[in-house]
Amino acid sequence: MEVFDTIIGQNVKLLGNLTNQGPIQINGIVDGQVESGAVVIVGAGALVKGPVKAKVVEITGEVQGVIHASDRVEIFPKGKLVGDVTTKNLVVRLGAMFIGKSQQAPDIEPKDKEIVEDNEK
Amino acid sequence: MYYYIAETPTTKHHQDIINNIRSRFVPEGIAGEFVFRNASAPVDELVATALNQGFSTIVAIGGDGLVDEIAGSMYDQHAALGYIPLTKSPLTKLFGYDNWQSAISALRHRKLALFDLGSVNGEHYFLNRIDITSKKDCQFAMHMGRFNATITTDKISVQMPSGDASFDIQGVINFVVYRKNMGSWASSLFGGGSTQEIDSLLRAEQAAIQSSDVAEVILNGKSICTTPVSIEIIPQSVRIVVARQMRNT
Repeated sequence: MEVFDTIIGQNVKLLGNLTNQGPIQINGIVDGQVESGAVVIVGAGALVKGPVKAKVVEITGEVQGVIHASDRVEIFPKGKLVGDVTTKNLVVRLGAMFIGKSQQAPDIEPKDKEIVEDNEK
Repeated sequence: MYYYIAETPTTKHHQDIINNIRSRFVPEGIAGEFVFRNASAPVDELVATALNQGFSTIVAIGGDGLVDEIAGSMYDQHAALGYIPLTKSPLTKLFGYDNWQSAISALRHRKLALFDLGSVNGEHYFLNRIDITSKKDCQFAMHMGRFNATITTDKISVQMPSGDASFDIQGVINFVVYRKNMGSWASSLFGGGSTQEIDSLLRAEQAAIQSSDVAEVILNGKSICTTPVSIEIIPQSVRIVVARQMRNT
C-alpha cells in the first residue's frame, strides 16, 4: 500500500506549487504546478489546473495541463486529461478522455509503449 | 548537575512515587537540586534560575504538560532536558522510557538527542500535537510558503515528526485532517486505539492559519490561543535525555 507524503482531501483547494519527493494523492482541487519524485495520483472528483511532473501520473479525476512523467502516465475510466503528455509509457483506458498530444520522452527507447485511445478527440 | 522540577502531588499515590524517585537520586549518582512547581514558582522562572546557575540537566517530574512547559523555556540552550514520568504517556514512548525507573536509568547514562520545537505565535512549545478546532465546519485559510490551501473542516491536527513516528520526515510540520466518524480523535496515536484514516496531509516548515469562524488552538488539552495563528518549526533546538536504545544525536 502506497504511503503518501502529501494528501489533498476532497475539501481542500490549493493554490500554488506543490512539490514533494514522495507520492502525492490529490482528491481535491489544485491550481498550480504539481511536482513529485514518485507517483502523483489524481483521484476521482479531483481537478488539477497546471502542469504535472512526476515519475508516474495516474488520473481518475481531471488534469488541465501538460504532463511530464519519466515512467508512465495512465488515464483510468472517467479520467480526463486536457493537455500534452511527454512520457515513456502512456495508457489511456476504455472510458477515459485524452485531449492533447503525446510524445515519447526523447531520451528513452520506444519500448513497452501501450496506447489505447478510446475517447480521444 | 541535575535540577529537578516536580509537579506538586495531588494524591498520596503520586507523593509516594515522588518520594521513591527522590530516594534513588544519590544511589544512582544523579543527585541535584529539587523543587516543586507551584503558583509562586512558575516553571519558566524555575528554568531560568537553573540555567543561570549552570545546571547541565533540567528534569521534569510529572506529566507531558510539564515537559512542554520546560522545553519551551529551553530553546537553543546547551543544558539538556530530562523527564521522569509518573505515568506512561506519548512522550515516554518517544523518549524510550517504560516507567520512572527506566527514566532514572536514562538520566544516569545521559544519552542526548536533539528534538524539534514548535513556535506558536512566537511562543515555543514542544509540539507533539496540537489541534485547531472550531465548533462546526468552517474554512481554514492556510498560507504555507509555496502554496495557499483552503480546507473546509472543524479540526486540523498539527503534529511534529517527534510526536508521531509515522510522520517520519524531519524538519517539517504535518497538518492533518482525519476522516470523520472514525472514532476518538485522540485514540489514533501511540497505540490508543484504531488507526484513523487521513483525509488530508500537508507538510510545511511554517503556516499562517486563519479561519472563517474563531477556532481554538489546543495543546495538551489546554487552549493556548485562537485563530489567526502562526505556526513554525524550529528544527533540533532542544536537547533531551533519551533511553540508551533510542536514536543518536
